[in-house]
Parts: sequence; C-alpha cells; structure tokens
Amino acid sequence: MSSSSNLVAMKKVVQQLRFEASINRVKVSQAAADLQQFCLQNALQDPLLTGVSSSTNPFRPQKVCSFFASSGALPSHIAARPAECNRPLRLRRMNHGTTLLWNRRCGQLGLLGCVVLTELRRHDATPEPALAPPLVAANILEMMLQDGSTHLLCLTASSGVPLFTRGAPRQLPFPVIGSLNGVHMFGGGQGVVLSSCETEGGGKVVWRVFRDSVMLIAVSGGGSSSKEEEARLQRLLEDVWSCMVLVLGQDELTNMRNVERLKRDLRSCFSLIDQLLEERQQGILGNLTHCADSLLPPNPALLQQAVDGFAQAADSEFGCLLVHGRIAAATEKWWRLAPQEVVLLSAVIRSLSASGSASCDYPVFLPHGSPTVAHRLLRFQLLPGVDVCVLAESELVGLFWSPLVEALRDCLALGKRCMPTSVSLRPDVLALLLINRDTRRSVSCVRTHPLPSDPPLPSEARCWELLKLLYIFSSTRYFSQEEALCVSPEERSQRGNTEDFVLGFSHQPLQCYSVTDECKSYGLQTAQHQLFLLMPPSVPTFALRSVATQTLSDIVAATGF
Amino acid sequence: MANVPHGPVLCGPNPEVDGAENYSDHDSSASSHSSCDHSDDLEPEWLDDIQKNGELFYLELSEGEEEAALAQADASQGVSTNHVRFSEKEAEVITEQDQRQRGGSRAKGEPALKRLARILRRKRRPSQRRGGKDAGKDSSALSQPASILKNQPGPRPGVTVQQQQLKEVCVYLNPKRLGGVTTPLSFSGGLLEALLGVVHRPSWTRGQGDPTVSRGEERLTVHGLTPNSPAIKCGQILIGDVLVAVDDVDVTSENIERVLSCIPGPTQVRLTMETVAPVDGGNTGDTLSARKTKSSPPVSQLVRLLWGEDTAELQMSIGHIPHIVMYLSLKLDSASPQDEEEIYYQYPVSEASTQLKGVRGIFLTLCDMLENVTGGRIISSSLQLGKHLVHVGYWKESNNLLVVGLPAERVPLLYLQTVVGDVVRTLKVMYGSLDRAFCKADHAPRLDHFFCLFFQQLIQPSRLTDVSSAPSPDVSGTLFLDGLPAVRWLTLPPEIKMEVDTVLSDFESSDFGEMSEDFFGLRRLYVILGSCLFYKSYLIANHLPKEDLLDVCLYCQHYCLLPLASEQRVGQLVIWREVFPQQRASGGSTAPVFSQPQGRHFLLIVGLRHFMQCVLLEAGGCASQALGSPGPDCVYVDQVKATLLQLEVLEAGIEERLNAPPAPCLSCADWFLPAATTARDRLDSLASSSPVFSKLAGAVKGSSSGSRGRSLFGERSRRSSPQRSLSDSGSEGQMDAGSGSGSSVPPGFSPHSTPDSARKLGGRRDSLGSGGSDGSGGSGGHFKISRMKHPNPFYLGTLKKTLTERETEEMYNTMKLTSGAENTLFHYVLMETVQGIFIAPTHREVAQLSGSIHPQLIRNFHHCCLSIRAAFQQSLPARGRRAADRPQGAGWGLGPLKEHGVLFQCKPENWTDQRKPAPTMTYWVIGRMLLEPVPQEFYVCFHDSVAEVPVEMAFRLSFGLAL
Repeated sequence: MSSSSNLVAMKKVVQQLRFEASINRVKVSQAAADLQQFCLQNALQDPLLTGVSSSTNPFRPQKVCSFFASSGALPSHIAARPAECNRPLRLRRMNHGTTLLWNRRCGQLGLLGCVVLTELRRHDATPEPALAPPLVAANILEMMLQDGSTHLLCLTASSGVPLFTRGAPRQLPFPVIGSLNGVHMFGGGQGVVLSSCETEGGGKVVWRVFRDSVMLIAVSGGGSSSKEEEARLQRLLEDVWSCMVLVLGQDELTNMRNVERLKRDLRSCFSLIDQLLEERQQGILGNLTHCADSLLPPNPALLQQAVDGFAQAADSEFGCLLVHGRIAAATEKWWRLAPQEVVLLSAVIRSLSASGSASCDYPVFLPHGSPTVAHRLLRFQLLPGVDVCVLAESELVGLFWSPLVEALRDCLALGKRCMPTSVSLRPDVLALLLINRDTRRSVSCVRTHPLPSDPPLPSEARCWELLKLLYIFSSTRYFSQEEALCVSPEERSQRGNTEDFVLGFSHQPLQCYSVTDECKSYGLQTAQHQLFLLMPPSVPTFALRSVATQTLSDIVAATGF
Repeated sequence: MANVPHGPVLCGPNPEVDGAENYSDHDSSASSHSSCDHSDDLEPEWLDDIQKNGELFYLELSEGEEEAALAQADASQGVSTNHVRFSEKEAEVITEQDQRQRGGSRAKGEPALKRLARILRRKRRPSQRRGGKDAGKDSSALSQPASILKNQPGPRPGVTVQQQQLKEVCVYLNPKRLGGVTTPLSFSGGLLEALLGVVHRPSWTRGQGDPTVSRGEERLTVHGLTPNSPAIKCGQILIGDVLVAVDDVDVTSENIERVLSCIPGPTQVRLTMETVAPVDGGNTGDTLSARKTKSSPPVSQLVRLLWGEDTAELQMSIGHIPHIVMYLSLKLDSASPQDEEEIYYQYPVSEASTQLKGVRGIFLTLCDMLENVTGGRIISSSLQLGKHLVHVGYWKESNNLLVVGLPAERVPLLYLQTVVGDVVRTLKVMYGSLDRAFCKADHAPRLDHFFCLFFQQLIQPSRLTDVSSAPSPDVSGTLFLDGLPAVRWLTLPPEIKMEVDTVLSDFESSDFGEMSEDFFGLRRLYVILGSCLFYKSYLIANHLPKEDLLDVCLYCQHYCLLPLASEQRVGQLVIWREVFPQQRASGGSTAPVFSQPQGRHFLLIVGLRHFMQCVLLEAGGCASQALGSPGPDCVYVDQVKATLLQLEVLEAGIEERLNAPPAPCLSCADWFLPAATTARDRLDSLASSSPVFSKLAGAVKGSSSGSRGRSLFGERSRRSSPQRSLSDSGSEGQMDAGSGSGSSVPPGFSPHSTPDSARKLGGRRDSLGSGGSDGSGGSGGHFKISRMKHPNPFYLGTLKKTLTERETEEMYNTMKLTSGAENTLFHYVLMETVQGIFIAPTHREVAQLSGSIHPQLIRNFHHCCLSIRAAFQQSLPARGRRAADRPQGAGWGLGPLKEHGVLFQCKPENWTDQRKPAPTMTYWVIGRMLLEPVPQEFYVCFHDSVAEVPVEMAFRLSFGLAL
C-alpha cells in the first residue's frame, strides 16, 4: 500500500518537474518588471489600495439578471460581469509550493498576474531563478474542470439565484455560473433557446429549464472525447429534475416562495444527485438506459409470489425486492410505473440502504405518477444487500420473509452476474447489457477474466465504461429510443432541442459493431430486445454476429427475459 | 498577339466578343464558339470581365446547353399555339401549361413548369419574355399585349397594333465595359450610345420636328447604330425603330439615361421596340424556328448565381430558414457607445438571421468563457429558434470570431465542424486570412456572393442543380463526399493515363515559345507549380501536392465548378485569382533544408466543355515578382486552352472508361428484393405487373410502360448475374451485364429490349416450371432465415454452393470485390489519405443500376458514413496523443476505432399486401480505417449474405489503382 502511494507521489513529482521544465523561462528581473508595471497600471482598480466603494462592494446581494435587461448586443464582458467583479486579488496556494496571485476580474477568469515563487533551494543552483512569464501560467488555471468530471448547476429560472451546485471537487466560480445562466436567459429574451454547447476535447455544456422554475446546467469537462456526451448530460438533467421532484414534490419547486428555504430543503436531494453524478456503484446503468437494472433470480416464481403477498399484506400494490441494488422481483404495478420512476426509486433505495439502517420510511413523490401527492416508501433490510420495499400507507413486519432466507441468499450469491447459473454465457463475452424494450428492464454484467491474456483485456471498470459508451453511441446514432409513454409533451418539445441523427436514415439500422484496439463490441436490436456485447479483440470480426445472436437467444430461452 | 503578349488589345468589330457576351443572340454564336477557342490574334472574350484587382471569373455556356435550354424554355413559354414540332406527348404538356398559364397559375407541377417558373422569376424580367423577331412578334404581341403596355399611363397616341408593332429584343449589356473601353461618353449619345449602341439624335439637333414628339418628351427613335455594340450585334434593332421600354419601364429621351444608369452590372435587358411592320410574310415556317432560337436562354439557377444575378431572389427563398454568418470582434472597448461595432461582417439579412444577430452576445460570451471552463475552444452550440434547431459553429482566429449558424436538418452536428473548417479554409485560400477576407470593406459584395453560394448549396441544393439531373439531392451524400479531405478520382486505363500525364507534364514544363525565358530574354512571369485536370467532375490527373490539390478542389467545390463541367455546360471558363495555398502560406515545410520561396500564388482555372484544368502559378521565387494585382496573362490562358484541346483527342477514351461496366462490379439493391414472396405471386406480378411491382419501379418515375420496362430490366439483370457467375471469364460476363443493363440507353424502351426481356420472361417461366417448388422454396426461405443460412437469394445459389470457395474465388479474382459466389457489393468509397483522392462508383455507374431502393440505399449509406467517419475522426486524436499518457480507465471514449459497421434492413415502400409481411433485405455498411501500408479509409456497402473482411476488400480495390 505504502509503496503504491509512494509511487503515485513520485509520479506527481516527475510530472511537476516535467511541467516546470517545459515552462518558457524568462529572467526574474524581466518578470518582476512586468509585474511591477502591471501593478502600477492597475493600481487604480486595486481595492487593496483604493478600498472598496459601496457601489462595487462584491458582498452585496447578487443581482445578476439586471445586466441582461437591456436588449440588443450583449458584449461579453458585461454578460460575464456579475456584481462581484472587483473582488480583491486573491492568493491561492497551490500544492507544489507555488503561489498564484490572481484576480477574477470581469468574471472572465482572466489571469492577470501570476508569480511562481520557486523554492529557495533552487537559488543556489541558478544565479537568477527562472520565472514563468505572467500569462504563460494561465495554463495552470485554464482547466477549471478535470477531465471527464461533470458539474451540475441549479438556479432559479426567473431570477438566476443559485440553488446549489454539485459535482467536481472544485467549484466553478460564481462569475462563470452567472454568465452561464446569463447567456441562456439573454437568449430566451430574444426568442432563442440555447440548448447545448461543445468545445474542443469533448467538453459540453447543456442547459435546460424545467417547468419555467428551475434552470439546470450541466457542464462536463473535456476528455471523454465522445460526441455523445450530450445525450448523457441531457438524461442527467432530466434525472436530476426528477430527483428533486421525487424528494420535494413539484409544488414546492414550481411555486418558489422562499428561496432560502428551498435551498435548505434541496440539501436532502444531494445524496441522490451525487449518486447520479458520480455513478458510484459500478454496473448500475439505469440512469443511462432508463431501464430498471434487474437481476434474474434462480427461482423467480417463488420470489415473485412472496413480493406479491407481501405487498398485498402491506395494503399496497407497489412492492419490489432489490438484491445488490437491482430489482429481483416486483409486483406488476411496480413495473407499470414510468421507467424513469422505477430507476429513481431503485436509486433511492440504494442510497437508503447505503446508510445502513435496517428499515426506514421515506416520503416520495412520483415525478410522473403523482408529482404533487407524496407516498411513503417503506424499506426493510432483509439481509445485508437485500432490501424489500413497498409504496404504502401502512407498515408491516418483516417476518413475512423469514421462510425465504435461503432463496434470498441464492440471489445474493449471484453477485454482479445478474443471471442464474443456468444461463451459460460464451466464454468470449466480456460484458453484456441486455434490455427488454417492452418492460424497460435491463440486465447487465461484466465478467472478470482471471487469466491474463497477451494483449491485456480492459479492466472491469473500463468494461463498464465501455459498455456505457457503447450504449450511448449506438442509441444516439442508430437505435432510436421510444419512450413516448414517460415523456410529457412539454418535455418532448424540449427534447426536440437535440437533433435526432437517427431520423436521417432511410432504412432501419438493426445491428452495429465496432472494432477498437481494446476490444470488439456489438450492438443488436430486435423488436423486443437490445443487446450490447463486449468481446475481446481475439474474437474474429465475422464471428461477432453469431456470438451476439446466440447470446441473445440463450439468455431469452433460459430466463424468458 | 505574339508581339504583344500582355495588355489588352482594343480592336474593331469583333464577332467573338459578340458570341461570348450576348447570350440572347444565336445567329452569331453559331459561328463564334468553335473558333473563339483559339483566337490568337483577337482579343479574348474574357478580357472585359477582368476586375480591378486582377481577378477574373468568366463563364460562358456551351452552345448545346443553351439550345437545349432554349427548346425547353420555348416549349414552356407556350405563347403561340403552334406546337407541331413537338412529339405528341410533349404537345400535350404544352397545351396544359398553356391553359394553366392563362389561368394565371403558372408554377408548381411538372418539372418543365418549374423551369418556366424559374425563367419567369429572373430578375428584372417579371413577365413572359418573347424574343420575337419579325413575324413571330405579331402573334405574340396579339396574344399578350397587356404585359408590354401595362405600365403605360394611358393609350399611347399613334401606336396602333396593326401598323406599328411592338417587338421585344433582349440584349446583354455590360456597364463595366464603359470603364475599360476608352471611348469617351459622347456628349450627345450618353449611355444610350455608349452602352447600348443606339444613336439617337434629339430633334433640336436635327432641326426638324419629329411628328411623334409629345409633351416635350421625345420618343427614342433609332437613328443609327454604333458598330460593335450590343444593339447592332443582336441584329433586331433597326434604324427607324422606336425604343419604347427597357425592362417594362417606359423610356423617353427624358429618362433613358437615368434608366440605363441603373443597370448595375453585366445583365440582360429586354428592350421593347416599336417597329414599322416590315413583315415578310413569306417565311412563316422560318420565323417559327427563328423564334425558337431567339428567345433568351434560360440558364440554370447555379450558373446565374455564379454570374452574380439573382442572389437576392434566391436568398429570399430560404429566408425563413435560419442561417447566418458573422465575423465578430472579441476585443471590445467597454466604453464604445456605438451599436454593432463589433460586427465586421454579417450575411444574410433576413428576419431569422436578425434574430440570430441579436443574440451574438451569447456567442461572444460563450467563446470567451468556456475556454476557461472546459479547457478547450468552443466548437459548436445548438439553439432553438422558433421551430428550427440551429447549430452554430465557431472559428476563433486571433481576436476575432467567425460564427456560422446552420439549420440542423441540413447539417448534422457531427459534421458541422467539417463544414465550418472547409469554409474557413476556402476563405483562407482565397484571401489569405480571415481578417483580410472580412475586414476590408470592398470585399463585402464578394463575400455576399460567396456566402450566398455557400448557403444555397447547403440549404437548397435542389434549386441549383438542374431539374433533369438529380431528382432528389442526397444531402448527406454531398456533405460526406465534400467533407472528405480528398477529390473524386477516376481510374483510367494506363495508356490514356500516361498520355494525359504526358500532356500535362509538357504544359507544366513551360518549355515552349512564349513561355520560355529565352524568347524575350526576360524572366518569365510565373512558374507553373503544378496542375490538375478534371473531366466531368472527376479528377483524372494531378500534378499538385496534396494540400494544394485540396485547396484548389475546395475552391472548385465552393463554386460548383465540378458539377458544372460534368454536364455539357461550360463553353468556356476562365478563372484567375490570387490564392494563398495553406501549405505554402504557413511556410509549413518541415524540412529545414528546403525553404519555400516567398512568392505570390495565382490560380488559373480554364474549362472547355467537360475538361477543366486548374493550374497553380507562382510569381516571385524564380519567376519575376508580381506587382500590384496582375490580371490573367493571355499566354498562359492560351497555353492551358491548347493543352485542353490537345486532350480532347483522349475524350473518347475517357468516355469509354466512363461507359465501361463498373470496375468492381456493383449490384443493385432492388435485385435482392423479391417482387413477391411466392413463385405464383411472382409470376402474377410479372404477367400483370402487380401493384407492388409497378409501384416499386414506378416510384422512380415514368409512364407505365417505362416502369414495366424497367422492372423487366431488373429481373433480367438479376437473372443475368447467376449466368455471369457460371461463365468462365469474369470480364466477359461483365460486358454482358454492362450492356444488358443498358449503359447508354435511356431507361425507356430500346427497340430490341422488349423481345429480349420477353424472352427472358419466358425463360424464367421455364425455369420455374422445371425447377418447381424447389426454386421458389429456396428463394422464399431465404428471406425467412436470411440471417442464418442460404446466403444466396438466387435460384442457382444452391448449385453454386457446391463449388469450393477456392474455385469461385479464382473465377472473379479481378472484377469482383466481394467474396462468395454472388456479387453482393452495392457501393463503396475508398479514400487514399496520402494522395488526397477517393474513388467511388461513378455517377453513371450508379445511374445504370437505377432501381427504386438503390438510390435510397446510397443515401442511407452516405448518412451512415457521416456517422462512421465522425467516429473515426474522434478516435484519431485519442490515438495520437492520448493513448500513451492517459491512464487506463479514465474516460476517453470508445478508444481508437478501427472498424465500424452497421446492419440495415430495408423494406419496399408502400407495401400494400396486408396478409404477408413485406420482404426485407439486410445489408451492411462498414467503414474501415487502415493505417498500413498507406493510410486509407474505406467505406463499403454490401448485402448481408456473405461475411466480408473489409481489409481484404479495401486491398483488392486499391490494388492496381492507377495513380
């Protein structure tokens, strides 16, 4: 353990040294002169020297929107200049002994001055320590977001007051948030609805307003280099909104009376939202597919019966049994909930069970079914990792389940495989995701290969990621989604914001495959199922199709999924 | 000319100029075109068009094109009632049009009518135009006198239709000549004389009152004609005629100067003349045919766009679709009170674009901000404007930002970046840099034209192409093929290729007469860096480095020169302009030993009929320095022309290649779809042309007999393919199939095709009879379990299966790309990244296959290629820089993509049979990126029955590619 952390530390050091070596050096005298000149030039604007006048006091209450009232051209610096524009120069200590002096002037995060104070021991090596010229070091700050991380911003749509931000460890500075919101609002005033933005390296920003009351903005840093990022972010925003409704109810969100109270209330959603953002639990793809992650128990009839009985006894029609966070059995009514609700309820239960309590009672609103009337979600932990829950008005004891402990243990034993052992998968299937398009359920698994092969197979985490990417890629490009049932007309019109590449095809795509250096992947769509497979590169390309069709027929035959 | 190589020659009466300039006139053009190509001692036609900055864009249509257009126009004008010249069918159409026209609704419907509508929409000529000469005029004047006289405030005294007849004359006027020609504007004649060539002496100079003078305004009687003027060239304006109106504007001596001065640029105007009825009644037959040639030629929208006419009208038609281009400054002085100061350039002006312009603050802010947030420059954003989804592409250069907004339904987001990148590159090639392009005020009209072309091509490509050529433009196809960093290549037989190359090399050596330095003892003006040759939009020879080729090609693509040359459209094309080849401009030579000479570069494009040669010239370096903005040099233009004329000898050979059966033989998708599911149905359908079948074929177009013919055609060719597979030599079978599918025969009926197909039909019955249920069962079964087994949909399929793989492979090792017994290849595109060329089946090969599903399939193929190529592009940077230093598991997409395939299923449209499910056909579209041995991208589309290895196919295709 210590050696590995040592290694990491060493790597960091090497990286830092490399970076420093690559910095364009100038003489310290020159840099100092530059700085001095700059400081003199800007002395008038320096609050440290001149003090802060009351009109420019950054700590006044924010009034972002007032800047967008004037129509016509919106010069960038005005849009980007919220009230706190002249915040004092700020010292920020970086990890590696350098100090950055920077100013958020004009909200553009322009780096105005930067001193890199090298450690003193360098002095004896070089008579005049080399310093980075002021603006070169902008690279250090350039990326506010790490690669692949996602930021979520929530503001009130009418006034632009930030409600919360989640995601990425480092928060986006307020001016950025303000201007992100500002551009959308400015466009709205001009009859132009901004929906998304893309930058080099795959960075994406997606805007969405829900019910004219809440504005959600998702910002994802570059790095994933996939154009399909947008589809994921769109889905994320929908889910986040549904989460908020699930916890608080729609009324609370649409009739915002007290913003401060709402801010407090929203804190209760954070655990759920974080779960969506971070996708902590590997192998849960429901957020993406909007299909309930399921687990196919070895003895489905028994469990089904038990769940039905339990729900009935609890005087409810909605009941389900979760094993490892995946639905093993549920009542028919449960499946009739909108797919997104099923997915979100699973997420709620997962986060509740992560808290470790044996049972809990949680009020939920159903985003589509009953956004204004709360239900009680009762969750009981039967075994560690096995939860049963009902949406009910009354509660009942868990003794109902004692005869079934063995069956539940069997389910638990399945682990992440999700399928009973009776289903024999071909050995050359690395990972699979099978979706039943009718019932909106999905089964997924990644198989661990103990034997090291010559070109190393992708790790388990990478497999999950690849599976997700494959799903996003195929579903945005080729396989259209029909989710008409769970999408309200209003939302559908909003979804019209995103262009449908699929519609451009005159013939229907059925299957697709791609070959990369890492692995081969195959997607297949039939009237009822969608199957996504990852296979090692050693499988010949022409065999992919037969593997896929065979896998599909095997699973369907064995489990009736 | 030899003595005075440069510098314009002002000469006297010149019939050549006439033919070139005066589009309306055909009496003279017949003689001119053939000879003008070689005018060594005459002033070249294009000399007048050279602009002040030395640029030249001179386009002249070929004669055949004009006449064809004329015939069509004449037919659709439908003014007179005599249509005996036309065949029965057309005559019907015409009368119908006549009726409609009289009824006042003249638009929409048949293509001919559309054409008419377009003609009628021509700028400044709102009503029917009749090029009536002599006797033709009386019928026309009688039929619709209203249009001529409609603007008249009252009845004109002295004008009686019986005696004084009106005629309309179209002449081509070019005000720009006035500047170049040193003729002083005569005190008396003014513009009327200088521009039009009509001499009119006002009454006071003549000393005697004209009887037709009214209220001080004097009627414009033609007293004389100046030589070499448009008026005399058209041959219809006679001395004694009275000029009544110009483009329906009444003119008198008072306002004629004002009216004429309003003509902004070279254009055609319609003069209404009153004449004293010198009707020679004897030759009515003659006048009819004269009429035909006399009406002004309607040229396609594209050509007129290139000429710079009509842009406003075209732009109006897409005004409701939001699109915009803006060039904005990012550097803003906050104190500047002025509005819109940051906009350097903006186009077009429409409601939707004004809205987009209004929100430019969004673009500026996003561009500023996002770079800091996500660490990359902004590429695109999407916004909803009314009902339209608009994608906005960004291009930042130094402190300025180019913003291009395009409707999403035309340009998928996946390809937006390529489109924007191409525009930027074209602009840079033309102007050197974006700043230079946009920040000069006098560039604005040219940029307007540039972007008008750009948007027209993207948003309504159908308007630009001829009605006849492409029924439904393949938007994603054009996007994909134009977006490839490559030029479409036509493989030629080696001997022709060699000759072409030799001729080009001879030219490029510039080792002859006037171009050699010894001739005048001077440094030569330009060094020929290289040239490339297009034939009918295919590149057939290239002696340019790849990047230069792409630059040149981008320019050609932008100005639609390639499709222009592919039909018989170009009589003569001369383009000259300074260019800034990107490779050279950036000084990007990596080798430190060789540094590019710093010179100026000029692009010379000369087109003659189907040939087009692009020459890149360099001034400076080892040639003499270019000073100012030199215009095209006659010597060079003439030499290119000579080269092209030399190459015309080879045209037959190239045509032969184009007519030859496709080199890797192609199948038509329709052959793989059964007409019906059972043999009985099939027989029925053949016997009585079942609804399905006729619909399938009829979807293309044409009369019932035509569709029937085509369906038989399809069947026949389909049957011919098993035959081919049995014959010993692939090439022989090829020829057979090629001729069978009627390469040069139009898709109707050729006289001997009917019995032929009937015979085939009989043979088919026979085979079904003898084969019995076996054959039908086989074919029926194929579609049920096509995925698993029975890859061969044909009757002989099972027979063929008995042959070993090896034998079959030997049989078609040369001609066939796909493996297996049948040829299952539908379409392909192979791009050689290094050479910057790609090959694909020629337009003619595709047209030969006809079919109703096939065009759909090709559209689909291209759309899918967009996706595949986008995926390849995405993975390229990942392959390059990220692969090494990226930790495993961190999100970097799907990883470097090598091969990507999609399986499609297609069904015949409007399948009426309720009882049975529609037959389906499945096919693959696969893209493969090869890095070894040479970087290639290969896209292929083939039937599902045989598993293919794309690498092998690509190799087979590229092997022996004559480069």
